[in-house]
Amino acid sequence: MKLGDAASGLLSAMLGVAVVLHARTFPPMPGQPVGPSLFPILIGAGLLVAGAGLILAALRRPLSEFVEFDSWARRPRMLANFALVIADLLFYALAVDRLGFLVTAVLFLSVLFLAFGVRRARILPLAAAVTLVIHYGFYTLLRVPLPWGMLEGIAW
Amino acid sequence: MLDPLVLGAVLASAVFGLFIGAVPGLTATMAVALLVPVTFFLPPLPAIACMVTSTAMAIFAGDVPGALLRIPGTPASAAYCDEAYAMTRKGHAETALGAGLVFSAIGGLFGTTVLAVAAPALAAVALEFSSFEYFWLVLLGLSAAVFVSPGRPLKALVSLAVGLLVATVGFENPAAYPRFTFGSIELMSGVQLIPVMIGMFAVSEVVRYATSIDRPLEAPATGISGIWRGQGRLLRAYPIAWLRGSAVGTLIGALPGAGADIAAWISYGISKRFSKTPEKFGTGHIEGIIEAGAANNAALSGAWIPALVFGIPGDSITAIVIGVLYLKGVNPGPTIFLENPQTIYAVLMIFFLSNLLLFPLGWALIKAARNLLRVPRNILMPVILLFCVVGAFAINNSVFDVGVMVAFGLLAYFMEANGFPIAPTILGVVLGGMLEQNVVSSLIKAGGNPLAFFERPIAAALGVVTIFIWLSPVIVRLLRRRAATT
Repeated sequence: MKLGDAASGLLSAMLGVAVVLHARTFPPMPGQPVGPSLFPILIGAGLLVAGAGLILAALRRPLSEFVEFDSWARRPRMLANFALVIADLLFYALAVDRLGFLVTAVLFLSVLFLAFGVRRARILPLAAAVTLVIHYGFYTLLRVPLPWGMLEGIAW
Repeated sequence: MLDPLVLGAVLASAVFGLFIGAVPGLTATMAVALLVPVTFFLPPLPAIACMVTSTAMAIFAGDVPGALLRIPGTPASAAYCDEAYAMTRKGHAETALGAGLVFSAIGGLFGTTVLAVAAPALAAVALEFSSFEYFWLVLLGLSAAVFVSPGRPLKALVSLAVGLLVATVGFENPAAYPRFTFGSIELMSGVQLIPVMIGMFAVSEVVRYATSIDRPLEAPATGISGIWRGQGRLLRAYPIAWLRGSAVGTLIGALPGAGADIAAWISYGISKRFSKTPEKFGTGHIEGIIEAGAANNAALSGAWIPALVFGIPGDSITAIVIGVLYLKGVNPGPTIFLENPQTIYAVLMIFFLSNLLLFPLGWALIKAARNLLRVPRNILMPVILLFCVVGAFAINNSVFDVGVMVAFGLLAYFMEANGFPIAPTILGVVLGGMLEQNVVSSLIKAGGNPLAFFERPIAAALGVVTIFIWLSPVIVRLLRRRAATT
C-alpha cells in the first residue's frame, strides 16, 4: 500500500503528537533536571517536524494520490499470498507450543510451498526433510529447546 | 587462534556466506542476522570469526548472479551489476567475476591494514571522550545515516525517529521508569533487537517475494573458465582504481551508518567521474567494477574501526556484531584495548584469514554458480522464513519475539514500499540507548545547562560538524539560488 507523501507525513506527525502527549505523563527523576520524558519528547518532536515537512513538501507539488494500492493488491492471488504469509507466521506462533515444532514446521512449510507453486508431489517430502534438518541443527547441535508439544511421548 | 573449532567455524560460515550472498534477495546483513542464534552458543572468538568471514564472502558472492543474470545477490553489488552483465554478454564473464574476486580481497586486506595500523592511535584519542563527546559522535553518526540514505532525508529522519522510539520501550533507561510497556511484561525489558532485525530484513523480503510477479532464474548457457587470466594485467593497468576504491571504501565504512552498499555506489560514481574513459562505462568496462568491488569489501573492514574503538557500529553488520559482543561480555570501546588486547589481535588475524580465504572459496563459488542458482525461489523463501522464525524464537525462547519479528517485518515492508529506508531504523534501535544515556548524563553533569555541550574542545568541534551536516541541504539550496540569479 503506497501512501502519498502527505499521508505518510500526516501519520508521522500524528505519531509524534501521540508520543509527546504520552511522554508528558512520565514522572520526573527526583532531584535531577531531566527525566525519562526528555528523550521521548525529543523523538516525538522530531517525528512531528519531519511529518510536517513531508506534508508541506507534498502540498507544494500537484495533488498526487493520498493513498494508492500497489498493483499487486488488485490481484486477488497476490493479496491472498500476502495474507497467507502473515497468517502462517501467526499460526506458527500460536500453535507451536501445542503441536510441537516438528508438526508445526511441516505444516508451516507445506502451506507456503503450496501457495508459491512448488510441485505437489514434492511438497510434503521437502517440508519434512527441511524440518528435520533445521530441527537437528537447532535442537541437537545448538540445544535450543524447540517445543515437542503433543509429540512429547517420542521426544529425543 | 589455530584452534580447530575456530577454523571449522570459519570454513562453515564462509560457505554459508557465499550461499547467502549469491542468492538474490538475501543480503550480507541477513547472513549475520541468521547466524546470531548460532553464535549465541559459541565462545566470543569463533562467533566473531563466523560473522566476519560470512560477510566478507557474502559481499563478494553478490557479484556472481549480478554478472551472470543481471540480478545482484546483495545490494552492495547493485552498483556495478549492469556493467558486469554487459561484460558477460560480450563474453568476458570470467574477467568480470575474476576482477570482482581479486579486488574484493584486495579491498578487504587494505581495510584490515588500516584497522590494524590506525585503530590503536584512534583508541588513545577515544579515551579522551566523555559523555559530551560521545553524544555528538553518536548524533553525527545518526545524522550521516540520515543524509547518506537513498531517498529523501525527511523520510530517513522519520525512519530514524521510529528506531529511536523503539529503543525507548522498557525500563532500561537512566530513570529506570518503564516506558511504553502498556502493561506487558515482555515489553518491560524492551523490544529485542534481533527479532526486529530479522523481521525487518528477512521477513519483509519474503513478503515482498510473496507479492511479486517473479521471473524464473535461468542459469547461463556456457561454463566459466580462466578466472585468473589477465588479473595481473588489470592490477598494473588500473592501480588508481583499486587503491582509491579501497581507501574510499574504508573511509565510508568507518562512518557509522554507511556500509558496503553505499561505499560501492559512491565509489562507482567516483570511478566514472575521474576515469580517463568515462564513455566506456556502461558498455562492459572493467574499471568501475575494480573500484567498486574493492570499495564494498574495504567498507566491511572500515566499519570495524568505530565499532572496536568507540563501540559505535560502522554499518548494520557491525551493529549486529556489537550486539552479540555485548551479549558475550566483550564490551567494544576504548577499554577493549586495555582489558582484552588479545581480542583485537585475534580479530585482525580473522580478518586477514577471511580475506585470503576469498581466493580459493570465491573461485569454487564461481565454478559452482550454475548449480547454485538453480535452487528455486519458491522453495527457498519459505525455508528462509522458517529459519527466521526459529532464529527469532531461539534468542529468548519466547513466542512474543516471533510476534515482534512479524510486526517489524510488516512495518519494514510498508516503510520500504513508501520510500522510507529501514537502515536508519535499525541504527536508531541499536544506538538509541547510547544516545539517551549520554544526553541525560551530560545534562545531569551540567546541571541542566545545554550550552555545556560546546564547552569541551572535541565536543564543540563534533557539534559544529554535526550541525553543519544538518544545515547542509539549506546551505546547498541557498548557494544554488545565488548561482541561478548571478
